[in-house]
Amino acid sequence: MSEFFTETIVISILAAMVRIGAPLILAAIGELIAERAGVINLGVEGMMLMGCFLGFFVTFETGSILAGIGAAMVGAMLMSLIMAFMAITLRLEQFVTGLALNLLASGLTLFWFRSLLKTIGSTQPNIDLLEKAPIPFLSDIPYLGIIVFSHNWLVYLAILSVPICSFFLYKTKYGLELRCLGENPRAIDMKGLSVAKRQYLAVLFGGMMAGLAGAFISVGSSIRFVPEMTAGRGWLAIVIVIAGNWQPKWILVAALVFAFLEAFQMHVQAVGINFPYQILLALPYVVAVIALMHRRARSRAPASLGVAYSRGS
Amino acid sequence: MNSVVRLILGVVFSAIFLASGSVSAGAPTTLKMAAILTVGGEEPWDGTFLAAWENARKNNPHGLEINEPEFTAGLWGDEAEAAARVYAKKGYDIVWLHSSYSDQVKKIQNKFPETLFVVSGSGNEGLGKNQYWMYHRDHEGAYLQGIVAGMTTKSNILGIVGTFPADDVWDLINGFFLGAQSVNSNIKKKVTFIESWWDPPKARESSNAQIAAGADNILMVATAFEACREHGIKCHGAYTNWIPTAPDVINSSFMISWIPHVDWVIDEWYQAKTNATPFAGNTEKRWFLMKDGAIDVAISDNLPDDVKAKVAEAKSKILSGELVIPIITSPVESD
Repeated sequence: MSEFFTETIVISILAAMVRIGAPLILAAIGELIAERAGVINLGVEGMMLMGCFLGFFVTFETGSILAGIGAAMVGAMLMSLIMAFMAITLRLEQFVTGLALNLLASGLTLFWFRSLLKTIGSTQPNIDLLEKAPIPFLSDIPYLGIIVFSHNWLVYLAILSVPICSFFLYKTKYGLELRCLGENPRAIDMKGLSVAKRQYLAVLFGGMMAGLAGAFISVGSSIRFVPEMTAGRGWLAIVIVIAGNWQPKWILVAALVFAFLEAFQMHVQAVGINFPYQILLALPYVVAVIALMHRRARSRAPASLGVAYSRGS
Repeated sequence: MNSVVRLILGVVFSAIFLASGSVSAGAPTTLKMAAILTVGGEEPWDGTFLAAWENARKNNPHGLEINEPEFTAGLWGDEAEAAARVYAKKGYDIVWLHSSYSDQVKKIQNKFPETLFVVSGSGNEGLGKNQYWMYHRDHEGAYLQGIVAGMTTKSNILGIVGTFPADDVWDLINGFFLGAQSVNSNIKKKVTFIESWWDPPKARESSNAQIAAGADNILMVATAFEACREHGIKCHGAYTNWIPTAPDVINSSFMISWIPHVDWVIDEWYQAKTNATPFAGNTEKRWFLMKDGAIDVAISDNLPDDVKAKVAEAKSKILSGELVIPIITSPVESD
């Protein structure tokens, strides 16, 4: 047990927490904006998967990681455009639309992977990984430098997205309008502002962030792509929004708690502590359920979340 | 008299001709196979199976003309059962379900007695009759990798990042550490499971954790080598030759082959069809060894000569039967 509480292991756990948490934060912040605008986007997993594949594929084809990340964002945004069209313009059931998009992404990415990248046996297409970008001076700070400031730039972007999102929501006119959309879209409409336009933009932003999160999973973490690579992280992002009570700072906390538990169980196994790690594997989900129960009484869920707005209704 | 002799000879030759004709009519000339894969050809477990299928197509065992690989992937439970049923109904001779699918085969095998079903790997039940159960034991390959790791480690801490703690994963984990201990008695073991078949980001973080715990040689059964490169340590690959992917990082890779398995199943099918006997599927796991061509190991050219020589020596002994690597499937705990 004493081996576990060494400086090396503790720092390693916390640094892993930041890396594991980064895609969750990116996707959850995107989902937060969409939900604050009143649209629940259950297609986050699919949009992440699309971003994951396109990030890998375009990087593989062009040799440019930046092009890959750009393609991931655009591809996921296009998916979110479908989501927005179906949920906002056609006013279709948002839950069903999101689920359908997940299936679409799963099928499309698998089809493209098989048809565009011939991979049988040991011939595996690979890409160069997004390199680490330690921040000068800050990465030299003892402990904190390794834990926070020695990752790739997508990690920094994820962390920065939280205060930026918070500032936007609570300190700007557009943020106020967005929050109002989720609570009472009629008020926005009666002011002569376009509800649909704002909801479209919010959903597109959510898609872009999901694409970025997906790109983190592929070009930011792995030299290769495997089908269904996002492995449920999009769903976890949705849970994190709820566990974070639709507030950026608590979303950050929730994402880091999930990531910490994941990093913790990996190190428990690696160090060899005599403890059934399967319990630790289930722990993030147990915590999610407890957080949901805890938030139930004081939920700040947008009042019009998931309800398609219609001027006549 | 001559006409009588000619008549007799004619009758005899006709009988021989008819008899030989009747034999050739019973022996099949074509074989139609279909498969249900877990992920697809991009992953070594499935990809090496497809390679074995192509090998059989090329070699035409028993003169059989074998169809091109035809498969579905990623189906489980009822969907896999439905797919197997469709293949059987469409008249495929062999339906190869390349993972834990005996529950599905159990429901349909009696309805399609003319179809030979194959399941592979752990998590299956030996049903017999027209179900055959193929297995892979990779302990010999992992043993040779253990020799490489044991001789090249500086920290004396070796790690394994595995997928699931299954019977056919424990055998290679034990084999790896046995190999390492055969050349280095100071080895400490680290074992981690990611509880997923394919999740490279999770595998990467798990190897980061092992590196933090001191490991400098990791057998990446979960196949993610990024952390090894990042930290300048050595990795070892699994199931296929990963060395070309990262020659500066990967010191060895064990490689599986399904060629003996596919050939054996085709033989079984051919014998049953030719002799018009019912299938007699194995109820116990059936695997093949290094001497049969089911497993091999590739090592890096960058390794020191003494390491290469030690691996070559051990491999030669395994092939000759002088060295028998025990199959141990008991769990290994991290030191």
